[in-house]
Amino acid sequence: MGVNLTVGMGEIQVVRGAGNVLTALGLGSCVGVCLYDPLTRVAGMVHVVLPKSQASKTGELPGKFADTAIPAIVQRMVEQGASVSRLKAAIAGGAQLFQFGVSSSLDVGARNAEAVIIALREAGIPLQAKDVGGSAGRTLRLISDNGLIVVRTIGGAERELAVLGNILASSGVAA
Amino acid sequence: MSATGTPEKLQQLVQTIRDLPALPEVVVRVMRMTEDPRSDAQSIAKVIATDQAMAARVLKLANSAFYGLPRRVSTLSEAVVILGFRTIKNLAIAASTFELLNREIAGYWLQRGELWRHSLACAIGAQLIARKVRLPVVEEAFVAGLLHDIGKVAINLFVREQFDQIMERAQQDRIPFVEAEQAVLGFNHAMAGGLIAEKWNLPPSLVSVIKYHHQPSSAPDKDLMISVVHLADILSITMGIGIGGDGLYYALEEGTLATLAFEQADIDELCEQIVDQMARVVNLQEQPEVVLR
Repeated sequence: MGVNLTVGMGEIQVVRGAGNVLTALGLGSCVGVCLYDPLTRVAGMVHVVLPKSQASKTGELPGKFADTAIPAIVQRMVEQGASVSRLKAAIAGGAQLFQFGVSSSLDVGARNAEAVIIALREAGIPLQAKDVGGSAGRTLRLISDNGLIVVRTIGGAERELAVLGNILASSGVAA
Repeated sequence: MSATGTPEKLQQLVQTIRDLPALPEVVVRVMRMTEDPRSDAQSIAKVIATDQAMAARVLKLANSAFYGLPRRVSTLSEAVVILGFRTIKNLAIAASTFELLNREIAGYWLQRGELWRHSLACAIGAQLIARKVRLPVVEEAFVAGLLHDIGKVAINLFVREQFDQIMERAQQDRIPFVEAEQAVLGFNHAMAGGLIAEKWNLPPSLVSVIKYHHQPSSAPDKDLMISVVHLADILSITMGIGIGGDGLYYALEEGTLATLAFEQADIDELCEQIVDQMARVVNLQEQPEVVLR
């Protein structure tokens, strides 16, 4: 029996095997990171809220920050049998307030996306696809059968972002 | 802002607001009693207890980790004594507006519960900001944040009919969604919220926060509380807490951060605190426990 899990702010969810669905609802400036190992079908999602952790407060919810989220989710996935060398990633979110001529000081969305991309690079995980920026809210879904990633714009259409389990399509990095 | 909406539409809005439920008599009485220095915990508890559903929610909120009570309170009078009149008044308002704010707001593509989550995040954020800027009425910030978007409930059906036009207008003219509402409908959710707050006889300062929460500098009273709620709202929207189809099509009014003496580091810290505290508030969607007295 597969499970259908919601990944709340700062949370990490990892599942193994087919039939599971991971969902992050209402991504604004937050970035949803999907990781997938096609061989073992270990799938993980983390809902990153901020780019950088403060040294004083690490540990409680490592998924909150890009720099601690990626190592933490990778470790959880390895514990479930995934191999770091097989992991592939797709990300969505990082939206920003609409730019109305005045430059906004609330650029946390852009900083989040950048920090996640850097953290993935440091972990040596290829980023297969991304849907970041803009001013719309997003819902992100990862299907564990084949690593299918679906993004829905709130109030808009749903589209397929990537299939992380598709070995044939794994050569092109969209970063 | 120009009003291109028809007078009939405005008439319909007024009618919609008239049809919204009144603030329960119990809350009105609690609000009055908590302002009266002669009131005592016993009598306030007694009034709340006359509405069982509300009483259950108030106790549930009082016992949530958010208030960090050292032990579980099992009676309302205990809750009034420990949390104080102002907090109890807030809990009563929160408990009584829950049904309304918890509705599905299809016009904004908000599923059931999403507007409540957004309102709660804004309430928590406003309280944190109010504390940081040392406003004397930190508890008022919670209620103001909770009710800031109440107008969305009233203009829901109008927005639903013309969502695409409003969004197009925002994108084409590069104006925030709330201004596009005004341009297309002739009114907006902040203004509608102000009308609801007036109908409920809420204090004028609260009416003003709701009415001007997207443009604090236009408020005649220039109350700092409006900037507090404005920033809390924009942060909650940015983080995506209970956002709908209007997404992040909003703006932080220029000068808000300077007014509140906030810097980038403060913003990040605030976002983190909102996330942490949201996790500590109980889920009112769950079946309320049965309580006595």
